[in-house]
Amino acid sequence: MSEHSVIVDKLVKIYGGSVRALNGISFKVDRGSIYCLVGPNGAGKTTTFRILSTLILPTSGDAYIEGYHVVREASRVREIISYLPEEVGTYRNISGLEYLSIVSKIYFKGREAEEVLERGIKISGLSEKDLARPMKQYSKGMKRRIQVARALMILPKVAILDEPTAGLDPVQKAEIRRIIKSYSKSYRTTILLSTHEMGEAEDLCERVSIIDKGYIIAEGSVSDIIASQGARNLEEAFLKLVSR
Amino acid sequence: MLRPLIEKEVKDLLRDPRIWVPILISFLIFPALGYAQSSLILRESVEAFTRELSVEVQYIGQSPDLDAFSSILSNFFALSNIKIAPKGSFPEKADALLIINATSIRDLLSGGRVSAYLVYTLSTSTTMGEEVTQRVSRALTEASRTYLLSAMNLAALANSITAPSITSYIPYIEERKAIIGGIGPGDIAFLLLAALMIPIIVTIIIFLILQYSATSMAIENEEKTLEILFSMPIPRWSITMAKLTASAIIGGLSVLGFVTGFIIYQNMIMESVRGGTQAVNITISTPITGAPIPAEIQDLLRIHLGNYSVARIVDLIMPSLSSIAILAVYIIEVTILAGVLGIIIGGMSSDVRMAYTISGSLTPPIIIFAIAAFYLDPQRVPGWLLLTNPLTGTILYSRIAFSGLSPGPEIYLYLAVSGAVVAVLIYLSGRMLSLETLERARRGAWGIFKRRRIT
Ligand SMILES: Nc1ncnc2c1ncn2[C@@H]1O[C@H](COP(=O)(O)OP(=O)(O)OP(=O)(O)O)[C@@H](O)[C@H]1O
Ligand SMILES: [Mg+2]
Repeated sequence: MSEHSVIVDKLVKIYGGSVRALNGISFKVDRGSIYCLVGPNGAGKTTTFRILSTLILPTSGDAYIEGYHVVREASRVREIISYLPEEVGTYRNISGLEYLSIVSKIYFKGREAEEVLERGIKISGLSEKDLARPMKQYSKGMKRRIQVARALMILPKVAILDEPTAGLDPVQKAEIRRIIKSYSKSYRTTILLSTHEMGEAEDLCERVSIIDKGYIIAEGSVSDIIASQGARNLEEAFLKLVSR
Repeated sequence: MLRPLIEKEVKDLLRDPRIWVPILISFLIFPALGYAQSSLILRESVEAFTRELSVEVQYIGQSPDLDAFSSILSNFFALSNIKIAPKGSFPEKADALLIINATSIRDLLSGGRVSAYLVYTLSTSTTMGEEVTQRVSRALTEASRTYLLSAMNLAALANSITAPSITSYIPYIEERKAIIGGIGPGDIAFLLLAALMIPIIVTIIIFLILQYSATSMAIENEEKTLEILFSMPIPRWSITMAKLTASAIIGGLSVLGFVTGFIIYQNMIMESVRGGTQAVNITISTPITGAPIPAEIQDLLRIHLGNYSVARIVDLIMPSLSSIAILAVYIIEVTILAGVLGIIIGGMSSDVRMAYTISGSLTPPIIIFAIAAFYLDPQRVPGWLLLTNPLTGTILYSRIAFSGLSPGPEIYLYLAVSGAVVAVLIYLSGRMLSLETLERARRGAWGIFKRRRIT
């Protein structure tokens, strides 16, 4: 088995015969690392993640998760990933605790499911009282925490998180980032994450792909990219790259 | 794997206050109808027939029979709870003024009639008025007849003259080869309503489930939780099945509510009919007595009808066990059908409003189908047309079952075909459950819409 947990090879996605969302992107993700797709709106981040999560088919190209092909072995892939859609919501009338419990029972049985649930509760960081409330009463931050906990608690081989902090206030953003970081440290899970916030990328990501209009325009560690553009920080480097 | 998904659906469903509204409506609709019928309409008419009337009576002209006649009249007035009001009461203090031509009383004995004029207040706000004329004129008729009989010394023949013949009615149900014994007006109402009930319930359940499953699916789309489900290692059909279970639960709860409400309604109507009948001491329609039919009549009936049986009305309402089983299969099929349709609609809707719009636009065709199935004569329509799909099949079959008809063995074929229709729809909805297909379908639907708008 290679040291790469995710391999993306010349992926192309054309929506409805005309919209070219991905123009042949390729990248590899080291096992156990946090890898980020950074790009402006409409760059193709969500499209890439949806293909990797077996939700949509690529027009051409290949992608593998832990050696499994995302199209030909989709059901294998589903067993080892978890996906956090961007701007994800929740079920209204179910409590956070019930939701985590239901998901844990989808993946595991008996004792194992209970352990998963315990972990989910811990990751969410929500109080017992909050966990017992129906999720329609949750703030955006609480909903996101439940969804992040849902995605991570099952210990997937690869967690695919599409803009996990989008739409949250700075405090909640920092909290979600802290959760992801400490989880990554504890479990060494491969994490694929997208963002268009440079501060976040600098804070979280070990390696970064800068993606724009369906092309990867730079790839490497955050410091490599900053250095290659002769910029002071990632934001400056990003703006230089994107405006080219 | 299916269990946790069902748990999710059911918990999310049962705690949604919106779903209780239709279930509550199903429960309340019949008792409300019963209340309106029994306590407002029936009581009012009972009251109208029993309340004390006051009538001022005035004679014009002279007659030696006046005293005898007026004493008989006041007897009949008393029997009908009519009080004779003092002179000058009408219109302020009496309901009516009865003017009798006294000279015409004598005409009775020579083939003439008593002539009278009834002046009464007609109120536009109540149903009062009709009862006044009926009660007063009936009392006057009875009084005149009694006066005539006594004047001619025919009092002993009173019954023969007033009701000279009695006919016993024997209704015959051809499909059952049975005659009905022991029937009352309430029973007839029950029979009619029972056949009406199931189609109403079924139509309402179809709407409930269609809307519920469409919106629940649209919410999953809107909240992106559908994407999460699709990225999980669960078979597509289990997502459909979990949603269909939820649909079946709403269906079941509504049926339960309806049936309970209907039983309450039934009791209310029976009570008020009984109470009303006793109070007025009139029969609403000619009663068919359960009195035994004499042997020679029975022999004659056998010549005409062959080997007939005597049925009670309840037996006719109660469908046979196999009919109930077939009807149950139809109802399950239609429940699933509505759920599947909802899933398809909801899957194609990017938000709840769109799901409402689409499922709402399906309302008229479904109602037309239901009405058509309800009004068509079950014996004339080609069965294969209506019984091979669960929607009209359920409605038509409920009528068949509750009218005591029993269809031939081909019903099982129809049932299987309609089951296959549902199975195909479940399969198609399972195939549709992918993000890409749903989006393509959505674009397709919008494309049609756009093209139509341009031309
Ligand atoms: N279902 C779809 N049908 C047609 N075009 C689509 C669809 N989804 C995305 N696109 C287009 O594909 C391109 C890439 O979109 P994508 O959602 O992958 O971008 P993104 O990087 O996730 O952007 P954002 O930061 O706004 O989330 C955009 O031009 C978008 O309009
Ligand atoms: Mg996106």
